[in-house]
Amino acid sequence: MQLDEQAPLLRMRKASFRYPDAAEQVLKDVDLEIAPGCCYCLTGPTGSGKTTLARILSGLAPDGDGGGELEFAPAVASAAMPVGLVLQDPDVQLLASTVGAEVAFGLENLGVEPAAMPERVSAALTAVGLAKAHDFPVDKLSMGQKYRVLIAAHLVMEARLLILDEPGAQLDPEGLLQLRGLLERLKAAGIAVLLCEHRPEPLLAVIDEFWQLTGDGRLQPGRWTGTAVPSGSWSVPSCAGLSEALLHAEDLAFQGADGQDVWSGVGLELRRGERMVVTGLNGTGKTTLLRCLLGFLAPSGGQVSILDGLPEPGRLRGRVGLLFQNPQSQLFENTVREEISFALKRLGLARSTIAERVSQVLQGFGIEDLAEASPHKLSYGQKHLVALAAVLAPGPELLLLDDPLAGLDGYRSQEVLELLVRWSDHHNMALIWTSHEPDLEYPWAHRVLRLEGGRLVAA
Amino acid sequence: MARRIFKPRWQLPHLSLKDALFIGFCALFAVLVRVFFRIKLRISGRSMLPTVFFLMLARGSVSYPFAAIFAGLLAGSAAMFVGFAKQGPMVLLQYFLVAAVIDGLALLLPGRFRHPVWSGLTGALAGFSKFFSDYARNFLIGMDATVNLQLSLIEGAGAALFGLLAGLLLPVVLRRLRAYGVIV
Repeated sequence: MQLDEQAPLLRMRKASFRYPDAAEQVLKDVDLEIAPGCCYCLTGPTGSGKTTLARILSGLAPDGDGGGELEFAPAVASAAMPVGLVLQDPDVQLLASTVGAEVAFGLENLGVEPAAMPERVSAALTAVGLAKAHDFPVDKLSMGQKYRVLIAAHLVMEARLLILDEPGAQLDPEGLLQLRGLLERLKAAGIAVLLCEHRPEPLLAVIDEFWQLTGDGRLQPGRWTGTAVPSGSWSVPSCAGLSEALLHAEDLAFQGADGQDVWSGVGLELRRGERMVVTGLNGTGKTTLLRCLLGFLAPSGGQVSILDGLPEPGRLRGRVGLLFQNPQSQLFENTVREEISFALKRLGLARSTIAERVSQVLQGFGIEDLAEASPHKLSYGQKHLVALAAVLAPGPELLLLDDPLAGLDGYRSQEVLELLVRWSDHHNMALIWTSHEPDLEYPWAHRVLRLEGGRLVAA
Repeated sequence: MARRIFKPRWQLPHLSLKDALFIGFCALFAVLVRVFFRIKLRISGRSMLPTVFFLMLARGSVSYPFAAIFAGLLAGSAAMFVGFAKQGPMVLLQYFLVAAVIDGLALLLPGRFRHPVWSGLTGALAGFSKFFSDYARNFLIGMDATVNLQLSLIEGAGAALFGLLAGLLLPVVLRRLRAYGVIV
């Protein structure tokens, strides 16, 4: 069926939604229209309901109470894949064990001939800039690479509306540049795109209209005024006063699944109270480096000494904290309060001390209102805040943070950064911070390193 | 044509695919756990622990009013074909009675087994329903009425005790499932 270029693809009228047990509606009377070949950007504070709206548009409304109407153009309603949604956390959506099988999964469901699949899968992978063999295991990919696989998996199904939830949180600048080119091609082909994004700068050229979800659940026409990029008024810190070495790594190397070195010859020393940033593009091995430093992965060569001993996770309990890039991986308790208390209970602290420390951390991160909420049902950004609060609560001597600001809006990012720097100064806590955004300024860091071409070099 | 995003609140309860799958899992586990733990402990009513637990889990997790009965009939049919307790079709009655008590009390008591007291009470009463199924079976095979009454009471009391245990365990599991968003 042909698409009328003037008629909207989709109309939403008076959509509202309230999560079970929540007092307030997260969406209130939302009206919107999506035209073919247009790119929209939905912004709003962390936890304002962007993902909820995206899920409702794609027909994956979460459990809860709601109302409103959704109308598709006839050509869209009859399409094999009217709306495609790539969620912020790629692990939620990945189904297959290899890249090729994952991208081909949708084609299988659409009844495409098997012989026609490899070519379409390769074309989709090329479009998202992922040069991996079809039999490459998905679990060996970085978060950014997984995100690209999922975009490819939706591209092959030729969705009429493609919704991307926080691509900037997962994709490096190179990936965002490729995404921009891809979006331009999609728009030219009449496919509409909705981006839910805190930091849309790299994609501004393709965005036609902004929408903003205010904190009270209303959708308003928006206007981009720039991201409040965490900058602060820090003076460049000096390493002069730092002496005691907490972490020492020498000539480290790690081999990937294909037997190739992910990186090699890595050496670094971190002193008490020092803040170090390691930047690198998707798949350069930032997360792998953190895991090797803590003993969760064995390097293929070299040595690590941490807190005067070998990197054994059991020995480092309470003294070293690690925040995973995907916060869901480290959340397991029933409520946010229990999540933050868990590590403190394991340290054998008194109940009153635990309660006091938890309140302090909840307040510091501005999440007192989430104390009794389930951490598993929060937005990606809120989960990141909770996981960060939980690793910071025991007061570690060394904190390793894997892309800690992913999914947080500018305001929250600023707050979290200030809190971490303040905590680091007051408690003499050392930090290793990884980021997929090498172009950002890190004025609060003592040292900025870059993982590039398999080597760790000064940025 | 515009369509409603959400179902109207007044719609009659229907069994969604997700709920049906969950009921199926509960029924399967109710049988599997009995298969794997067929230890001759010689304690009356011990089989009620997994039976009551998984049938209550089915009703506690799913808003459909006959969830436990569905799970009970599924599990009972499987148990009948596997040959549990050499009861033949009577095992189906046993599962049905337990499930009927659970579904009935879920409508009467508040909180759908979230509170340990109500959950424990439901478990105990559901377990005690074994008295009736055992009495009926023994009656059919011609057991003396006095002996039957005494024997069935002993079985029923043991089953009530294990049902109580299952009922007390359940709120913890439901809380965890709810926190993870597996159930609403």
